[in-house]
Amino acid sequence: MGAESKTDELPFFKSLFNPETKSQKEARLGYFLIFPTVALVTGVILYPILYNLWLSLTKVSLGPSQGGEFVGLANYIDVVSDPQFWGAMGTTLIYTVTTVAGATLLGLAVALLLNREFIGRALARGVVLLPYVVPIISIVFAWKYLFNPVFGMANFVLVDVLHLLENPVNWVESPQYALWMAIFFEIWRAFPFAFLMIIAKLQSIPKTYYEAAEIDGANWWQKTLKITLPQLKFVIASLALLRWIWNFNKFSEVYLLSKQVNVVSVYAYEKAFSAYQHGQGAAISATLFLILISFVLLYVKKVLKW
Amino acid sequence: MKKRWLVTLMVMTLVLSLTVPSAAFFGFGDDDEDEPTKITYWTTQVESSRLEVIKGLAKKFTEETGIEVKVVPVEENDFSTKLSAAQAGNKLPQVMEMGVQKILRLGNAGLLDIEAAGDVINSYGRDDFYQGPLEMTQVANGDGNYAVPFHGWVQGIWYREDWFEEAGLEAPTNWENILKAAKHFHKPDQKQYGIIFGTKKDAYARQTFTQFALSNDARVFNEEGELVYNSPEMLETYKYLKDLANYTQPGPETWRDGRNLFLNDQVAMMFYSTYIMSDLVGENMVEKTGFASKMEHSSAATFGQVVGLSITSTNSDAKEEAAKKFVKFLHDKKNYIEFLHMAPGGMNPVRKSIAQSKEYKDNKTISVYGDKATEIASGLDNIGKFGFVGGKVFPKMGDIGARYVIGDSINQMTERDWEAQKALDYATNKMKEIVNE
Repeated sequence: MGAESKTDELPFFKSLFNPETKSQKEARLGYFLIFPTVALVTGVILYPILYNLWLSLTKVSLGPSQGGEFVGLANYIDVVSDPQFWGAMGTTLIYTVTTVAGATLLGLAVALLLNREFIGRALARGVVLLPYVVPIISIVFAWKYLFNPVFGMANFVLVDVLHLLENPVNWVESPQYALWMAIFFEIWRAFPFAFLMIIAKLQSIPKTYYEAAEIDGANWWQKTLKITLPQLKFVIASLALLRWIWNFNKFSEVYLLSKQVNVVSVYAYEKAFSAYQHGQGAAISATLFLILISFVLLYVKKVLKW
Repeated sequence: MKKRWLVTLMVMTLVLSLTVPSAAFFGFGDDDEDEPTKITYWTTQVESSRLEVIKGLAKKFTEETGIEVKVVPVEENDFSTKLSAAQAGNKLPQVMEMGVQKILRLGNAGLLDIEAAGDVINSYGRDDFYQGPLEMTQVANGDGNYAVPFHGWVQGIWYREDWFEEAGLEAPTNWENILKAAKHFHKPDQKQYGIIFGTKKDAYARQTFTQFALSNDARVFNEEGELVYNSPEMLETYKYLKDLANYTQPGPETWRDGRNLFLNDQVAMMFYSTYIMSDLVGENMVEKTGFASKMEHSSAATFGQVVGLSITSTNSDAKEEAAKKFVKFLHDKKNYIEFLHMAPGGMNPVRKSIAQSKEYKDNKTISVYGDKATEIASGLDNIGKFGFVGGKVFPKMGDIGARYVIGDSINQMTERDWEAQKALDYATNKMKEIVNE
């Protein structure tokens, strides 16, 4: 048979297709079982990453028929020597630190609040999830309108009703306020996720711990500090890590809300698609990846202690 | 033996099922690519009412010719980014409706079919087209056109004629009058503002800025193609706009703010294209509104945009034929007028025979404006642009436009309170980088 003569030349395939021993048979089964996963990971994760790394070493030409030109590390040198990149990095750090802290703390507070028994608790829990489940584009437009300088409700309340401000402010588009608006927006949007994870863990803390503490005469504050928070430690730490990864690369929420918040992902997008420097765009994302992965490894080692 | 074949078959199926969808995903196996009877059309007309009309026309075209047209609406400010993504993915649409800067940029990169565009223009007679739009779409060496001119708009200051009369102010046709009127009508405590012009990092800011700069003889390139942005005239323009920005609504603004405020009686003047005409008719504001399309300072300047239909270069003759047929179909009198009437007054015809035809004038908005409408359309002949100097074309302006360099610098100056010179230097440096690329 033709197939056999071909497999003769490849001992690996030979053992795969003509197993002799039981362990070889098992090995064969093993390969077949992990094959779909390997193929999937290669196709949708490994290939794009390698392709991106390759792009970051080339000057990509616009015409689809012309190939890229290999330029070595030139793109990386351009990126790290551009003060705008470091400016964007600073903005990203402020954005990430504040939104991670804000969203996690708010989620924790709301979870502790809604963990008590009261009428309408189920409804309240459902309502809290709304910001997280509404399509992003619709709430962005609602926020833009809410904070519009002339027609917006926020300025109406602040200027005309409460007289806290003398003149209306363009909250979303003014460079002074845009970053804080984006942070405020992201905290509001992301806290339900933290809430959801924390409340799930809260409900699994055994009641007996609290009963024992009560017998010892502990008040609410002591119970929170000595039982609840230590129990939540890993949930909160993992949440903060996930949120950090997501928000460090955050693009859609920021870019849709305001054109004035230049975080690194927006900077990379503009480099790649308005300035047509696809190679530099790729170099920026590779740099971002490096920074992020070193942070994650450090965090996992020091904070999560895995 | 049987079992072995079964396993081999299973593996093959698995591999196929994994690679085929991903091949389609990465753009290798897309059936659109080789289907001669299917073309894609990108349009910047994103409003749903206009899309209805365009899709109707596309359907009619399919019925007549059997060629399917996929209509893709693309927001103007996203056009450049989507375009480069499509280029990178080898998925350029066959026909695109876009402004002349983009046409020049793509044409210069060798992506547009000059011969096909020429064929369509000649089939309707080169003389029937207005000279201005033809010149703006022409190939740098003057040999042919990158695209077929399609329609155009003229920009200017729309102002409240009734307020101006009451206040005894003159029409805002020059720098002094504009500033005087802006100061007079600016009453922020009553939520009434003097003027709206572009102060955001977007295309609108460049468009409104161009008219100010050109009226002061300030240019981006001189006739030799050298960058002359950092000139005393340009500095004067920046200084003037910094002053004028004191009489706008708080924060940066764009065309949407101008339109909302104007139709809501909250601003005395705003820059807008002729696209506002049907809104003014709808709000019964035609009588109260004046239009200053020409701006004078050291010279007179008119600004506007010519939009063309481009045909993408392709290896497939059948696709090219189909694209040509579609462009010709859109220029056919009945279809063309139907298209233009989507935004009556806003989209002006680029062909004389259409502008003068009874069928074109037979429209509520256009008849309200009467002869003014024809006058506005003829304004397309004297549009001034940064990318065109003395009949020469500078495609680098397309790149400068795509990166919103001008809008960015205006935004920094008005919102971060930069000095005019600092904003000008900032823009000049960015332009230098682009020119040297």
